[in-house]
Amino acid sequence: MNPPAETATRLGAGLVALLALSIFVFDLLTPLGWADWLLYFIPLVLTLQSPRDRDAYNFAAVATVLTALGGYFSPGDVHPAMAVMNRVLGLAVMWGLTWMMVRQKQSRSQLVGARAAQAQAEAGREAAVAARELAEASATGAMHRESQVARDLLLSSLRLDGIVQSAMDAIITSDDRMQILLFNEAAERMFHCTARDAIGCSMDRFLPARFREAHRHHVEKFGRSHVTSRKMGQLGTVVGLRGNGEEFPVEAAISHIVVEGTTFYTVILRDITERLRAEAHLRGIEERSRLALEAGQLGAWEYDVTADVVQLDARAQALHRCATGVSLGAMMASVDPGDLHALQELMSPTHRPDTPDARFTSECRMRYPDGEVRWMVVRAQAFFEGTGAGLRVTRVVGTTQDVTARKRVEHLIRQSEERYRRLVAVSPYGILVMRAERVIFANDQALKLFGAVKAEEIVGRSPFDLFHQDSHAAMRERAGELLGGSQVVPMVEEQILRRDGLPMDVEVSSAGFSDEEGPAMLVMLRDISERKRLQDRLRKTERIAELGTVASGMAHEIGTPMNVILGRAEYLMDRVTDETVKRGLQTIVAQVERITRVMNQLLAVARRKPPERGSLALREVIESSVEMFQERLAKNRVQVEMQLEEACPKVQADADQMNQVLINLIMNAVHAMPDGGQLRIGMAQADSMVKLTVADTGSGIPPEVIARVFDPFFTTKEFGKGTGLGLTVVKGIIEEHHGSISAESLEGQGTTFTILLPKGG
Amino acid sequence: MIEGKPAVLVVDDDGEMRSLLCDSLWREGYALHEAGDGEAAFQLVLSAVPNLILTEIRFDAGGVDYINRLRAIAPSCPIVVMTAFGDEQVRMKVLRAGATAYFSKPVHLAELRSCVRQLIREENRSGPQHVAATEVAR
Repeated sequence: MNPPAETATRLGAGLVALLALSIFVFDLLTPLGWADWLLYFIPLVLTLQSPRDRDAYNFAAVATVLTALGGYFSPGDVHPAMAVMNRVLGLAVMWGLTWMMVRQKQSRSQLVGARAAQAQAEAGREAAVAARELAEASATGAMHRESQVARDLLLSSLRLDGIVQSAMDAIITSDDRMQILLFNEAAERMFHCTARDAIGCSMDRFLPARFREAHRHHVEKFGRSHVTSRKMGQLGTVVGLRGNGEEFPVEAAISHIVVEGTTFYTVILRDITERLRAEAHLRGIEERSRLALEAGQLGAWEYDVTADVVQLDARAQALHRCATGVSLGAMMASVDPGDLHALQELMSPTHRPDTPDARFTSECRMRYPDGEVRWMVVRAQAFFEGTGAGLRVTRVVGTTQDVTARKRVEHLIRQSEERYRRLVAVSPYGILVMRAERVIFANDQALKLFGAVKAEEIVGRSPFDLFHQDSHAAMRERAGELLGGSQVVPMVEEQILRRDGLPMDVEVSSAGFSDEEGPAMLVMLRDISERKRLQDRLRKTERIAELGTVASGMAHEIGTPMNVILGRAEYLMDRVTDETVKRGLQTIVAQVERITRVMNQLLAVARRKPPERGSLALREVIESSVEMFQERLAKNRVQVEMQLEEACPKVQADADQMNQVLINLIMNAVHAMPDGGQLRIGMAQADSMVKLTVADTGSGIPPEVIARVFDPFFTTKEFGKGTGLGLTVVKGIIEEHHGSISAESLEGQGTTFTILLPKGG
Repeated sequence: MIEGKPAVLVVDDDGEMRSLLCDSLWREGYALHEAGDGEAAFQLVLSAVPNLILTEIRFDAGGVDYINRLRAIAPSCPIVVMTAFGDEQVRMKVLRAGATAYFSKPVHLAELRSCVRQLIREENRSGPQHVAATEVAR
């Protein structure tokens, strides 16, 4: 139906409805006796314009109902039976009229349809003629193309054969009795059987015996069901049998085709041995990865850079305190701000790898909202897409591991190590660690003891190179004890060999220990040379003091007889004229004088009183001492040169003892210069000390002697001239004053004694 | 005691030493008296104060007190003390106790003689005292 017609129909329907409603209202308002319901004939006529015949009957039905209602509700002016009869008669006329009008309309439209059918039949006949002409022309063309189609068929067949032979999968075709008709090259390789051998054989040959029955059953079932292709895998494990008897897993797809009543089955097989192996391998890898993640307490995550979405596994979610599928920012929310930047830098989408291996590891702290801080190690690998300038990170896959416990342990170990390192570093003991007769560690103090500058001079050497030969036997014994399980061996005194070849006395404590590299020995060395020196000196001092005490006690006993000897000799000398006798008497006198000197020195030691120290101007002592020797110095042609600093502070010292020191030193110098020379006395401040030097220009002292000049009874002086106690007394006095004395000498150029005394308070 | 000669009392517990000293001083022309210990010397000085006392101090009834006692009974008599290997302290004590001179043994006789001579000369100038030694104590 065209749209304007449809519109007209709708308008018509509306008009009919409006009229019907108006008439109904009018009927209600007018008295019952009025035949106004006859007005329903007007819209009824209008409905005959509708293309549908049904509409007229529908309206007639509606008009009947409305008439009935109108009659019922209208105000009654006539007898109701009268009114009902009128209306029933009217309605019967209306229904009859309607029926007639509809019949007439139908007859008219049937006539129009017959005419149209006739016209269509005409057109069909013409088309049939044209078609027959076309068919005739086509038949002629087809006959011309027959040879062309045959060629195409051949080519297609060859192409198919090529595809079959070159296919990666084995293709086998068999007939309904399972006789093989086609066996391609891949099948030859798979089953280790040539096509010539295979064609004509039963399929059973390539199946393990236990599967043959099931296979036959399946194929028959497959032939009956009209499913075109189905995976044989549904049978369960499909196993093939190679020519050499080896079984192998295969994946198979089977199809069938019916040609001239015979069913042909084509099966495509793929050897999945490698794939299964690879799958098993992959499963193994996955399992191992899972175990590794589990064992390492690793949380795994993957960051899609483009979408800015991170997928986290359960552990990673717990570590990062976030859900999965969140943005990188949300994942990093708990990372300590101090560590965040470095981590973001590594994860940044613009991050470009300088090396092909775009892996990174970063340590960071997690600062959780509850204030807890934990250490994490984030390891990740970035994956890139694009090349050159377009290279971008697309994905970052990584793990997060909670290493707080390890960190704490590391921290504790580091602290502990640091403590021990410091302890070892500041230890006043030289510490060596030895393993397998090699020094593997030496601290600074040990290097100092050995006089070494670099650790290499000690580390790596055998301990036997470092210790004096006399100690070797004891060392071996000790090592044997320690390595045999003893933890500590008693402290011993031994000698080490310094790098300059000189031996040094040390106290050695050793302990054994064992670590992962095996048993080792810790050796602590303490320099006891100073102690030894002190002990020696003490022993000597004691000896001297003892001697002094003896001398003191004997002084009287010796003094008087000596005086008698001396006196008698002198008495006789005045009375004899014989020169020989006189010389003899002179010798006696000289010898007594010598004994007297020795005794006096001894007594000086014995009678040394505690010094009475006070602030002392050394200058005065020096000047008075020199003054005292003026005559003797002049006699020996010794020039005195004094360089006494004006501003030199006073010293804390005993005047008498200083006097004695100077007298001894000056005397010494005079003796060193029998042919005259120069005596230089200097005094200057040196830090908190006052330095006093007494130098002569004498013959000097050989190096082997100079070390012993302070030893008691050591003298180089001619027999009878020195007591060997002078410098010992000097050293004793200086050391009592907390000072020091040293001697330097150059043979032929003279000797210099240098004294350092503490400044006076 | 020989009149006119200066009297010198030599005190030492060692006979050889005494003998030596006497021999040495004899030539100087002194009247020599000897004592072997402090008590004998004290008795001698009590009986007659000599012109000079030359004495050791290490013997019975000796020591620094002995010098004090001598000085008490002979205030102006020179006392020369000798002692074997005496040190400064002894010297100081002795001199403080009243000794006129101090020598540490062994002493050269020449030095001793000149000292004695000097002291007697000085003593004579300041007024001679007569020594009345009645006996020589051993």
